[in-house]
Amino acid sequence: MSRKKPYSRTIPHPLFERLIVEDAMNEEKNSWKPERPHEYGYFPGCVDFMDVEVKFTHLNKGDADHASIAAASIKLLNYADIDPLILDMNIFKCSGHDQLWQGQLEVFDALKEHNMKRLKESGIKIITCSCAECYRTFAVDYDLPGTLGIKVEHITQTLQGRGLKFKAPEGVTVAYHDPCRLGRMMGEYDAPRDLIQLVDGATMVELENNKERALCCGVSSMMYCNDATKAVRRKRLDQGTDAGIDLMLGGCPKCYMHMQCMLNEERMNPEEGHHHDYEMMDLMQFLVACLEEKN
Amino acid sequence: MADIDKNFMTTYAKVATHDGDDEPIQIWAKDSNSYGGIGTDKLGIWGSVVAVDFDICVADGACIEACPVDVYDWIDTPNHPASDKKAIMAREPDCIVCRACEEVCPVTAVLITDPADIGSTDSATETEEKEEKPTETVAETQTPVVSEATSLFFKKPNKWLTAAKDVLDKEELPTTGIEKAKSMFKDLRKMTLDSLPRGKNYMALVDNEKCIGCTQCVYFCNFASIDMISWDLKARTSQFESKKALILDDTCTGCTLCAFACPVEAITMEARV
Repeated sequence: MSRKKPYSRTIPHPLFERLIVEDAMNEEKNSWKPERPHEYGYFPGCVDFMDVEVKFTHLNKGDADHASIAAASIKLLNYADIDPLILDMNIFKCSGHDQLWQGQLEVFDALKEHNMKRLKESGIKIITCSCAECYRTFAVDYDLPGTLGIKVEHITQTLQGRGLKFKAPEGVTVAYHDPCRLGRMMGEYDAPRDLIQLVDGATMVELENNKERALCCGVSSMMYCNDATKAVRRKRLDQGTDAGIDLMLGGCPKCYMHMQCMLNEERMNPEEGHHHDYEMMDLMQFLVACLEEKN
Repeated sequence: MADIDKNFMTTYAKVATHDGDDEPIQIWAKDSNSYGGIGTDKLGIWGSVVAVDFDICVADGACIEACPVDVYDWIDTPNHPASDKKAIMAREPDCIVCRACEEVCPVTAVLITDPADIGSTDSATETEEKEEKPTETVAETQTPVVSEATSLFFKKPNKWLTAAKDVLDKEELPTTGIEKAKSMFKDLRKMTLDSLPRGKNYMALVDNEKCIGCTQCVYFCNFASIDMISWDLKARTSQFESKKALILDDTCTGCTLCAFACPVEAITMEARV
């Protein structure tokens, strides 16, 4: 995303982004050093902040649990014999994706400066993210491969081709919903699909619009959810019903949040007559549910 | 010290009651041996809708400050190791389930349960204690009338997510910052509470000029007091329709949650006339 001058208008954002801005503006001068060197670093992103807000509001009438995406990712990395350095939010700050796309450039620059400093101190070679937005931000907007020589991976790429085995507790039909940041922007369509194919007992079907032509979850960078964005989302969810799926899997916590929010809203207002009889989940949560105990 | 037991209504027994301002306060403990009464070190959990684990409570007073409707009072509990006074929910029926106290408690000793969610057990309790109706009637009250849609929604959790959580619960994984997020959230909530007048004599008002129709306040309101209504707006080229929040004054309790959620500071608390 090229940028020359800041925009004059600020775009409203939910509470947890207000917290992230507050966090960004607290400058930390102390240096930090990991206890031991790591090759891999895992960046959880803002899922914990999202989780706290979602649990406080009525958005959580269902059972969305964002923090478990980070826990599931760490568990899966350990399962794949990777010992990642957890680049958690106590040391790092949000990647600043939303702030950049909303035009809050000074906030983004503050976040970027802090994270770049910490990444330099961490000494990792590869950074892996469970969030498609962080992945894009680190790879393109931070340009980590070019500036610090750190390779940026989405967690599906890290886990791909490591001989993992999964077994679904029962037969299940799933579909993968391509997040825009991972798919169209970074061109990664196969890694998540390969992972789903490893799950014994899960049948993967494609939604009507998939890969490059995938439909959007409707809300980019948590900007504004209204009737128009809900219409986009409903169209996507309808495709899931058409494909007869039990679970829709996503690679981005925001897709998970928006889709699950819509499903919950529909269930709270059954008189409106829209109903989709399946659940949305993050791919990492699904894989953990299908984890086989290692012998 | 551990947090308050989330399932205390099923795992704990009712051991005693204490006088509240209007209604008696239920006291819960693991069994009658683990409750010693005021003046001992075994106090158990007090209250049902507003439950405070007195064995955890450190008398920080955050809940008393946070409560918009003054549910809490101090009660002296000499000889208790955690603190020698506790926050008692003297006016428990006044609770508006805004969960402000739950959020600010530094030791997670407070658990607010929506009366509607515990409807079945609660009504049974009241019947047993107050009126001592025959058992058949109690059994009847225990099956609340729930519409099919509601029961489908609340009683069918995502089994895949449950399975994932089961796997994750088995081992201790490093935290990724949720504690930091929680404390920041609490600070922000406290800042809002301090800066706004609140309580039953106040209600929220929306400034239509500022409202952008983002519906954040609707999701935060516990009482369905906020509705979105359509407004015709004139733009330079044509007319378009936008939605604005509208506070319904009969159900607004003045809890400030909507003002807390509003991203553009369009909601203010005004004294009722």
